[in-house]
Amino acid sequence: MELLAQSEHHSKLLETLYPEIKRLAAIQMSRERSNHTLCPTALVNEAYLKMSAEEGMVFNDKQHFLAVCGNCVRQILVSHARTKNAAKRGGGQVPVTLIEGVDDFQADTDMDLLQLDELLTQLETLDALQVKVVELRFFSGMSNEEISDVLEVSLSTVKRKWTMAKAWLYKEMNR
Amino acid sequence: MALQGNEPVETDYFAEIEDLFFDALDLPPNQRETWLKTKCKDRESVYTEVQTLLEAHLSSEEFLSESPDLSGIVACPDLSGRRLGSYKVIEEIAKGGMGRVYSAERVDGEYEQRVAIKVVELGNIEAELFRRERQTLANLEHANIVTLLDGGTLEEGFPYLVMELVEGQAIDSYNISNKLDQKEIVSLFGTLCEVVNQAHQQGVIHCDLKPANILVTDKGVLKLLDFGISQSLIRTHDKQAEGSYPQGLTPEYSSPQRREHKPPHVADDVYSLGIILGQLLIGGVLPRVATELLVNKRYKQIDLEKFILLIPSRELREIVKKATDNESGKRYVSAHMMGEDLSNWLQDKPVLAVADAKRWPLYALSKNLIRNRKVWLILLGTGVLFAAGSYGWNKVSLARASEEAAASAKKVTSDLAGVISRAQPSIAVQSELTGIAINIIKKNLVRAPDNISAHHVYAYSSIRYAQIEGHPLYLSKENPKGALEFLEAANKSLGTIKQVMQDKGIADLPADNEDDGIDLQMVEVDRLTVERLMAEIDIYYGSETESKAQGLNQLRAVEEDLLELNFNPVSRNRKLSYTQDLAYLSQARLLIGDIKVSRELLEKANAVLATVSASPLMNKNEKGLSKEEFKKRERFNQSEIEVLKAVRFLKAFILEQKAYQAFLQKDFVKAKGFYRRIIAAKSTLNRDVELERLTNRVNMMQACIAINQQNDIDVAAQLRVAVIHNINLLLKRHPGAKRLDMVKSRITDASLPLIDQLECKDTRFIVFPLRKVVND
Repeated sequence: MELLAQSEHHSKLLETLYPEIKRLAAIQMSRERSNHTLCPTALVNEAYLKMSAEEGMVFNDKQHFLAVCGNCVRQILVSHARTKNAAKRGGGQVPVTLIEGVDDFQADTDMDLLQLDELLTQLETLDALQVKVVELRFFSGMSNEEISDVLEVSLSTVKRKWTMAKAWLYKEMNR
Repeated sequence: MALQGNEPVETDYFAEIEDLFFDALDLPPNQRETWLKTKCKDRESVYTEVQTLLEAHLSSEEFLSESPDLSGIVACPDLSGRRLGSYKVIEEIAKGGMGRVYSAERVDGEYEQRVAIKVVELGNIEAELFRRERQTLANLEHANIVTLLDGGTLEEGFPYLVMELVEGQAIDSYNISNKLDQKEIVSLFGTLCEVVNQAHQQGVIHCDLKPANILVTDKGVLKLLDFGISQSLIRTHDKQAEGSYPQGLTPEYSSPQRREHKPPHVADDVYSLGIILGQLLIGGVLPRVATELLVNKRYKQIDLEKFILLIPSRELREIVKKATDNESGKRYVSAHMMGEDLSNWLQDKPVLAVADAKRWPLYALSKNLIRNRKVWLILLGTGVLFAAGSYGWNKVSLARASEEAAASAKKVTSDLAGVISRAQPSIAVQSELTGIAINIIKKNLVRAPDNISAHHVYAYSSIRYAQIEGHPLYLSKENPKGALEFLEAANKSLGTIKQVMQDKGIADLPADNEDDGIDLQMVEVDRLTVERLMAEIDIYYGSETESKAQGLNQLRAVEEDLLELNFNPVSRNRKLSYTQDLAYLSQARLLIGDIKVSRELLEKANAVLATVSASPLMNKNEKGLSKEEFKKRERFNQSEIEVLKAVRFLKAFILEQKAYQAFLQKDFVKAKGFYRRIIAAKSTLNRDVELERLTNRVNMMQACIAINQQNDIDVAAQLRVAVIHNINLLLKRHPGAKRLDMVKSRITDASLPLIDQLECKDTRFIVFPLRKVVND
């Protein structure tokens, strides 16, 4: 359960990972340049291969790395949604910035994502394992089996935590 | 488990909820409620919590079942038909590695305008950097650089730029379709070099110069695209991707250093310019061979040599060779130098690249056009002889003699000013010429001891001479003693004028033109100017703290007297010199950190300066002009240019101080804004030595802000290179100028860290001439 600790190592890892995943995502998209959905799992795996090959980037094991990845994708998505949201509210930082016409549907999705993020932060204080599971399953697109491997908990615990988290988040979002 | 300082009670509570939730789920749905009620007797909140969770569970089947799509972040949609702010996108007009360009039109009904919108396809982090850099672009105003009109961010997160839509051809196809000859290519390219250079001086490197980014309109006007965009891309890419090519960059125009992902440098653009120039010169004849040679990168070295051999002119070949040297240090130090060399070629002067190559040992001699001061002495000599010749003092009355002496003196000074302004000889030559002029005026003065305007001219010339001789705020011979002697002389002459006017009861001496009137108040203002100059010498040259304090006290008195005079200058020259007085007094206030008074003085200076206007220049090349009319127009234009130069310097000087005020108050954003405005307003024509020195100070200050506030060593290093380059240019014009030597030896002192080279530990050493020049 060491994985759940928000250690210094974790934040360092995140710092390095964040740009890497972003970059890989960009490359993957420009390679295929179609409207297909970008699969986070593939991205995360590619990031692992790339970064473990580099010197100075030593991960305790792949599990640890993947655990951090889920959190990383979450942060990428949230920061993206936040930027867009800020731009819509006219809070752009650059004085010359124009504000584009609002696409309502897209705006809702962004709001959801931001709310979800807040709730996850709240949930972390209640049950950090639930949050890990959500990050890996929802944000990293891993299967329950993979998550069980990564977090070193039983498959049934993964299922249980996932079900609970889903119900709680759904309840809170629809309050 | 290291959780974030939460109450254990709450965790336990939540764990219980979880247990109850799953126990209930194990039961058939119709029994859950009753079971839960008995379990939660007297614990209403627990019951409600679990009950709502159970309800949520039933509806949350689909919830979070699909992972969010990341592609929205990285893939850019087609924008055709979409509205962005006040613009409606029409269609895609270009697609490149970095993004897409659309044509668009303004639809907010304000006015009709067609624009180009460029969307940059980047990830979020790069986009953030790009957004920051966009501000730099917005400040990069130049008639030959495509104007950035607006910018924003798509809801998909991609930054976009709204730019002026240029209808033109890429420079290489323009070259072919217009069948430009060598001279036309070189002269067009000279402009290109200057444009690139000016952007460099503002700290922006293009990094992706290629014909496609250099457009020429039907009227032959150059327009550069994508300035600064590549730089921000490269910066992020290089940090992340080793070995892979940054998206969209064009290898055949990239320098070897760029290909190795070294930090962007001015020399990279010089390299690209060299390749493009070569391509254009060959272009008309053998475009395909050249392109093939360039694209085939397997034998880079050999190909480049072959490529250069295709250039028809030997001298131009050397220029391209020098620009594209593999070692960045052997290239032209700047685009400006490359442009200069091209202009040397155009004017049949010795080409630097050839002299450097040392392949023609007698090259420079064969051109034999090296200027020396003899030329200037002869030039001035004719003026002096003319002035003396017009003075037939045996034949005329004393009064008339006096008039003519004054006229003669005036003529000498205006000729002198003209020669100096046009030719910008070195400080040493200027000093020698001014010395000669002063002697002539002095002789005239002996013949007309009571002539007010003769004395006035003498006082003015002496002030000028003093500045060149050894005033700390000007580039000088660093001889303060000599300077003080001349200031004394000026003071004496002004005293004589005052005496004569009082004795003869003359309140004012009306002038033949607007600029030459004299009244008692003006004489007083002039006297205060002289005192100010003396005090400044005390402050900056004084060896002891005493003389410094004395100088400052004296300045305080000057300031008080000057403001008390309530001077309201009418003529342009008067306005300019009054602005100068106020601005330098403000500078002295800044020296002691008195921002408040400095600000008041600057405001006053600004108000005076705002009333100065210049007239449009006259066309002296009009057909059928008489010789006199031509001379008259030339003289008129000269004086208008002089006014413009002075205004430009004073504006920059005022901005520099405003920036420093902001800097002292730690408002670095504001300071940077002012500094950028100074650089943006700078002209590459009419290079004025004081303005150039001011630019150096601005660049050093910007570098210090980059180091101290943003920790951006790259930017600081680039600015340092710009300063060194500029000092080298100045030193070329003013060899032996000790103050320049001193700044140069410090900024290039390899034993000092960057922060000391740039004087960033105490910026007062940048802004004020506080470092003593070692005078041997």
